[in-house]
Amino acid sequence: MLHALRTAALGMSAQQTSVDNTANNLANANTTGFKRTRVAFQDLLYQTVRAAGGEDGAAGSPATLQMGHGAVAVATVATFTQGGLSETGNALDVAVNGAGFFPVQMPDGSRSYTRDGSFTLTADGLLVTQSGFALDPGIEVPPDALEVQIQADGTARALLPGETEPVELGQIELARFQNPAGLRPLGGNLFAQTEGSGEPVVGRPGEDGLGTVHQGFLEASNVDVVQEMVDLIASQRAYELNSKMVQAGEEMLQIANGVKR
Amino acid sequence: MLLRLRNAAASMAELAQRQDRVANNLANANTVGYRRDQAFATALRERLDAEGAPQSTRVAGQVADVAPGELIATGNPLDLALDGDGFFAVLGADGRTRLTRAGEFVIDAEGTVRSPQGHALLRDDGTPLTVPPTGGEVTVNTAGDVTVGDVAVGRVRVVAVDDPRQLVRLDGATFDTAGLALRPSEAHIRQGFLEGSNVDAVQEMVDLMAHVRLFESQQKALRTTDETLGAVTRDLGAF
Repeated sequence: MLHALRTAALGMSAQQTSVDNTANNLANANTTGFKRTRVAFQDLLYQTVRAAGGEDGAAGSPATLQMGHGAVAVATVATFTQGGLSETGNALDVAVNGAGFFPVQMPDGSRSYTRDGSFTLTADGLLVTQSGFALDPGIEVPPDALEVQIQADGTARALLPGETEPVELGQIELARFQNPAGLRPLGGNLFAQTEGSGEPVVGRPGEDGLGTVHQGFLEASNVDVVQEMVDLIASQRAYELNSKMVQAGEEMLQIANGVKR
Repeated sequence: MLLRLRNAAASMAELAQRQDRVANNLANANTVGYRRDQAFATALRERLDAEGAPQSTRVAGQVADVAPGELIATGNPLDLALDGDGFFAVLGADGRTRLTRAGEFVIDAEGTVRSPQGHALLRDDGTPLTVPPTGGEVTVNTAGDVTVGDVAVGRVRVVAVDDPRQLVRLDGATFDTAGLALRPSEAHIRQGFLEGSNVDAVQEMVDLMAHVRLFESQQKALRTTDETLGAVTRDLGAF
């Protein structure tokens, strides 16, 4: 029986994965701190039909005869290149310029990590993400603070009424991973540490290659819409090519059936 | 006459196998670093049979087409493309050294540079390339010297083979190195680029159509021989 039909079907499903991935990248083109992903494909195991040297002695085939069985998606690799910083003017918007992530405290006490620095305050004055998770270590802003200042090194200060010098509120820390592509996306712009990402290197912004923080800015997604469109076209055409293969395989089987009338 | 039936049937089987190869090439039209599979057939012991019909033993073989694929700019510092003849050497989990043109790499938790399939990228001295945990920007120059921040961490091993027909495929767009004579390669490394598959869609579609039609004509030959044989049996038997 023709392998071609199954091989082409695998090719089609691999391209479909690629289209799904492009759709997700495009849908998040305007998501703060979003990192685009790319699907990595590999060709499948080869079946050795006849090893070099050949069994039919005299023939002595010079090369091995191997048949491949299609392609499959092996990984979605997130590309952690820097997204553009866009100015918002909001004092609680903080962007990371560099490799670091903001550590945030989850309700179960564990830590997760985000590049999305669009913070807001709770009724208690705690600095939290838009989803309500507090920075870890936390920053508490007094209710009567007139102004919040965040330095490039992560020092948070507030100007209180009647004071001329701002008081220090705390230190925003950043965490960096050896292999950020190994982080597990949790949705809501959050990532969790995994075995693949390695242990985080935590420290003050500006140290250890963590990058600096910028108040009044947000990091745009690193999705390049033109690149995504090009990828989409390539995947769609490859899908079409594989569908032609299915048709041709079907036609050959029909012809083979025609041998016996 | 019976031999002609066998000849047509053998030919159909070979065309079906060639079509499987086209299917594999098309399925990998977007696989980074994939090398197109080319089929060839060699006729051996050509002779004429008792009825004067040509006959031969045919041996089908294949060779990986090592023509370069297009370079795709990705801007990712760990995407490396080879400009010129050569391969990256990677170490599989099974301890086998493999060759590949797929220069798509990531850093794992221990700092080892690996392909998405988990093969470790090898340095000139044959050990896996690792980056120190201190981090910093990874730069790779055209000769393959890798620096992380200001620290030099070695040179990427790039090798070439003299006879691409000796290449035996393993999965993940890699080739086995067992029994291969490797020599240093002159290829330049382009950081931030990936080499696409070298499958030519037009060529594959032409092959695909040709295989279907040749398959059809062999089927017709088979049927005609069958009809002739049928007529011979019937008419001769009528006496």
